[in-house]
Amino acid sequence: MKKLISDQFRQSMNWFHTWVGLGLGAVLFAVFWTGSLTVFDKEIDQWMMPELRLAQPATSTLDDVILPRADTIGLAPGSEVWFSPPQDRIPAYRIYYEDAQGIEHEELLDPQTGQRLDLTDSDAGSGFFFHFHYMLHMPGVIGNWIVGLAALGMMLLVISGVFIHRKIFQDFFTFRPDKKARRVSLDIHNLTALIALPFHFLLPLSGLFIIATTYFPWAMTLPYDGNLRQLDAGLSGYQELARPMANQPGAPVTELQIYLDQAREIWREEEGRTSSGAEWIGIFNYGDANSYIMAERYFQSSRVAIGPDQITFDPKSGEVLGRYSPKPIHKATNWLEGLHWIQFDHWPMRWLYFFAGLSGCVMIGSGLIFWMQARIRAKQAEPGTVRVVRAMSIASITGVIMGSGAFLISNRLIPKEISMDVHRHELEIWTFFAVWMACLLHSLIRDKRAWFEQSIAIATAGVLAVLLNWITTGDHLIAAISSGIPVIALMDLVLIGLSSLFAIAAYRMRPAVTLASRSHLTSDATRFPAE
Amino acid sequence: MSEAVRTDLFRALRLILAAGIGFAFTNGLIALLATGLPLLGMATSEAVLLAVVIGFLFFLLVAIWIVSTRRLLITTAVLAFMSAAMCVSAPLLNSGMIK
Repeated sequence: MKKLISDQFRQSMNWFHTWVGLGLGAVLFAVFWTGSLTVFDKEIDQWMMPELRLAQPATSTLDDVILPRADTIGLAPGSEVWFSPPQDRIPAYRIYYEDAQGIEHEELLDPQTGQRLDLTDSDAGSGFFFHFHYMLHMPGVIGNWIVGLAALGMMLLVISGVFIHRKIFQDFFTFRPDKKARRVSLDIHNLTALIALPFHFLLPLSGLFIIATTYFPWAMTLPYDGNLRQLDAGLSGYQELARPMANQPGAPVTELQIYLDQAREIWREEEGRTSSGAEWIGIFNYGDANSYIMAERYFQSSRVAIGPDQITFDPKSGEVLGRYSPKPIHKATNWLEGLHWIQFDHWPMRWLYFFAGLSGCVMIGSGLIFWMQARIRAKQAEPGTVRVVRAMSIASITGVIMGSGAFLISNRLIPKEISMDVHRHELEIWTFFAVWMACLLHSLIRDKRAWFEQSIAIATAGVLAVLLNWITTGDHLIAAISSGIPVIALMDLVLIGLSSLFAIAAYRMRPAVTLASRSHLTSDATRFPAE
Repeated sequence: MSEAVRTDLFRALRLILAAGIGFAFTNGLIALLATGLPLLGMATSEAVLLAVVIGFLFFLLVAIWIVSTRRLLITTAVLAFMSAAMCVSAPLLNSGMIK
């Protein structure tokens, strides 16, 4: 009987899996690692910008403190300004506007006083890790293209990985920690790949979809004669709900809260009690007689799918002017995008994402280690090649983690006000890259001993970051919990947890390294993950 | 040139073709669906979104096909021709020259 899947096809998938995995492993690890951190980007923001550690709920409302701020920021007549009330993960009011010169501004305001928060100049989680996740901190769209290629490669790696395994379920339940490093790394690779298989496929797919216009601008805008704005307009209500200006001065808008409440009521009637309210509320045609209000929810807390859902109001009569809701296919793709954005309010799911992301990191790392072990065993690769691949692997795995630790430490060590001709947040980012490159150099020099030494460095860095947070802000574990900012305690606990993991890993590698250094062995027959 | 080096070069060629032809095919397919589906009554924005989702899935299929085919030359030629046909017909469809 003819086989359903031929041996030739399996062989093709096998070399493809090896080549693409090896070629894209480093990028994929960095993307998975920063993606996992981005699950908690707002929490990292609060850790790195202590001014955001606002424990008390807002006593002010949009109307009494925040709305008057719009009159003081010099808005051009006819411009638009957006306000966002405090939320669980962003405990401050936000104002977003363009000034008369067309420069975009976003301000965060104290929920008690309405005063602008004097934030520490840091890109933190939502500025650095988030953007690195899909741009690799590269200029223009170069990073987008590299990450896009890696995402496509990841999906193909998942598919080819499934075809390679003849006994996929048996492999899933196989773990032989007492065997040699090569077998252990393969078992871990299979386990972590299969345990989060849908995640490893759907997240790259949804990520590609989110920035698809970068990859296929011609094809996607062809029906709009190449006009990207037209496509955007078709996917939101900004154009459809727009109201022409009267070009006459109008009465200032004096209340916004009522529209937030009204929008929430409309959505609640349609969707039931768990419906989310508006995330942002904007004033369009500011200062004009034909100004109008738009309540918008983009990231809904109660469901996976994201927006935009928009309702416009007439500030003079209070009546609803128009509504925009996504069409059926747009709703389906919004679910796909929401799956990647993870803005829903579901903490257990958020943790699952975090662990699935880390399982991806382990899968990639163990795959790289398996490649080296297999080549060393079969004597297929030149020692020089193995050394370079090993150094790249170490720098891609422990190097990027160490860089992230250094990023946090530099945030606590660099003073808030610096008298250098450089932005403070740039110094933090430079620290990240400098430490990452130092790890690569260290790996090239120290070869496989770098696994142990960099693990020790990461374990130390995690604890140091927690201590520095305590020293510079006073928010140690107990203080953070008792003063109503458990997010900070959680961040510290995660750092301590990761430190402990790397301390255990370093301890497991210690005897092998000691033996090797004593007898000047160059053999690769040491314990996993020190190979 | 040794057999191993030749095999490696041939595999590298397959990877480049998989990425290149896959991209061209997906570009053509998205363009064709984005311009063709509205003619069947679908809203343009909806057609674009559907085209992109389908396009990415076809990218994967095309890449796997090129990586695994025994007849690389024929497969590549067929897929390249289909990509070119879609990339040419989509603008014609959009401009109303094809109805």
